Amino acid sequence: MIQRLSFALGLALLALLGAAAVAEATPRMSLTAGTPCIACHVNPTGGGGRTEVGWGAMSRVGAVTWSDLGLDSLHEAESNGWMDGRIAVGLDFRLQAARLGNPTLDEARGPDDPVVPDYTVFPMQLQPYLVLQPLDGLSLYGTFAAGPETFRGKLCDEVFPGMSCFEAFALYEPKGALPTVRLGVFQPAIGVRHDDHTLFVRGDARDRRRPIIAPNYAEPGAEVLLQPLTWLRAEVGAYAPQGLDKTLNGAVSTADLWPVAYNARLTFLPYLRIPVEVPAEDDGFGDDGFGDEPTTEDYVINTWIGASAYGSGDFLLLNGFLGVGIHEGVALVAEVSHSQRTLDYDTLNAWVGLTYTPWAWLTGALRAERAQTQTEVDKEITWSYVAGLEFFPVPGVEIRPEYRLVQTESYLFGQATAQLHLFY
Amino acid sequence: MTQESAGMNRRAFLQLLGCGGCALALPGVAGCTIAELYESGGGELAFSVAEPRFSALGAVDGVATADVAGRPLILIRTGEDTIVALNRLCTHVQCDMGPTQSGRWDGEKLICTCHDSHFDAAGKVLKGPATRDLAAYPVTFDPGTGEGRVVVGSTPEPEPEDPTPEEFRDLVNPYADDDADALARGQEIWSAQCATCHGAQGESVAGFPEPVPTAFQSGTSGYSDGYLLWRLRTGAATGPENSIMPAYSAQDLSDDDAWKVITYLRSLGP
Repeated sequence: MIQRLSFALGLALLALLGAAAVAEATPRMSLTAGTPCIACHVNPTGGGGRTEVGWGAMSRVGAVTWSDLGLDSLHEAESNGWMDGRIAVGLDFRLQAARLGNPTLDEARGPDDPVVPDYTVFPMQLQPYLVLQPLDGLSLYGTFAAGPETFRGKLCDEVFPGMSCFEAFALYEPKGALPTVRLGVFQPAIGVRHDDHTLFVRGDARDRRRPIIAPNYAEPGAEVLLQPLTWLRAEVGAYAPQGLDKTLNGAVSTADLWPVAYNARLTFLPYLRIPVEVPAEDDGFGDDGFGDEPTTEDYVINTWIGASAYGSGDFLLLNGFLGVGIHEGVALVAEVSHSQRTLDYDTLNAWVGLTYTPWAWLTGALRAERAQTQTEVDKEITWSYVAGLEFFPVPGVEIRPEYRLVQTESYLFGQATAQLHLFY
Repeated sequence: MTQESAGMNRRAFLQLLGCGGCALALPGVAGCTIAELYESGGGELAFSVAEPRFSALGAVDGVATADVAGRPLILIRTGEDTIVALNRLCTHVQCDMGPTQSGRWDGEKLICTCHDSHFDAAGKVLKGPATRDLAAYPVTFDPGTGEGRVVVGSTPEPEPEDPTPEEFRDLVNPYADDDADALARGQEIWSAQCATCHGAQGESVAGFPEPVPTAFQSGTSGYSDGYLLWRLRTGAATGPENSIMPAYSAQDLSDDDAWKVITYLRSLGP
């Protein structure tokens, strides 16, 4: 029983981990655990630096644990913080192997022999986190995302237009029913947070290198988070849309933005608890009256359904999302995103993802996406299908092999990719 | 080490071996790369700066985009008389260098704002990270009319070679199109010898078996004088298969009368 409880606890704790900074894991983990992202991440919308709970869970999840390897000192480490948790640190590092780009036509070779990009291994993310808690309820959070150009002298490497190489905010979580307040440079609560740039849902089917909401997108602003009931959460915020302006108005202006952007997200989080009788395990002492009776456990189905609106001037991005998860590790997430702007330029994107986590250290994931961009003269539709694994061989290490198939109006491209993710 | 932890180790090892192996092997198992291009045959685009979508090309350094036969093109007016057409997908990681996307033409080079690759007006890489040149496509442009044409992919069908033999090729009808005497004589001959098959107005005779002899009614203005005289002199030998057009030698029809028939024939054309 203890073993089962430990296993269940490990599973739940893993689920509590939240996204490892820039992955699509947030929905899965939040749904299967039934807890908000802030349980394991300092950032209320998930991703990035981990809380002590999140770090603790992470440090024990692996097909082989530190204890299995005889490294009990690592296994028994209790926190990523010092001074009673007043200072905490974290890190995400990702190494990616993929064919960057798409098949292209070489006019000399002809359409039957397209040029396929070579496999490239490149550092995709190097992101340290620092969290200070000078007062109870007050967190100061800072993170910096280094890019390839950072190491060539350009400190802030904006790989995607509109992305931010840092986040820095103060988060005040008063006791009682008062709202949580966030002030600084951070990503507004838009739909389901993703920093995986391969997801189309916040992108542009015409140019997938130029997403509407870039990975690591962040703006200077203020946000109020309210959760008056366990099943109802709302965020309202105002921002200076500097990054958005870069995305939409790079070479040519495509949207008239106000000096301020507004954002609101409303999420319902109903859950269903079904009592299930669990037969007693044989404890080896026969029918001795101790632990011989069946017990009742709750079978929990977590759900969330919500919508967000993010806009400025005549730009508006609407997101609707739905998630269902159970403790056994199955999670289903769907999201629809629609944007419009000044020019006759609309996007309508959607994705649906299914994950199954049979063991805390292994998750299988399937994902299908559709992105559509409609302009005055053109309509472009792109489809994507991804199948992959999230495998944690030892705590702090994730290996993520994937096969992805992308179909656009111009090409069909399927490739295997692999990612090594080290995190603390 | 306790018995329990030893058991966990074995299990963990087997789990690692099994599932971890599967995870690591996935790229290998499913590692085949699929790459297929659509709509990559040849094609062409006729454009005019009078069209709103190409209006930016009305001025030097103006830029417009168009997709032709699967190629995403960027058209750049590099000078008063010149427009160039390049594939607008950056060869680095295929950022779209359209002006509303990730591209900027600064008057000398096309800049991909994704990773700052630069290309010249001929598509050659000036600055990486891109290493391959952009494909460039031939453009014809008439600054007087503001109209132009881009050809992509396979070379368009060549203009049909003029079949007119050399001895006929440069011959010119001595009679003007409105020469009344020539028209009258030509009509006289036409009515007597040609109208039986071609009809009084060149409209062909109803019920005439294939090939219907209407060739002269349309497009006569596209034929040279020498070509028409050659067809008249050689008849079916130069016509389509199964043609029963007789050949009119100089003995049957003098050069002078032949030119008058041709003068009349041209008056029938659309």
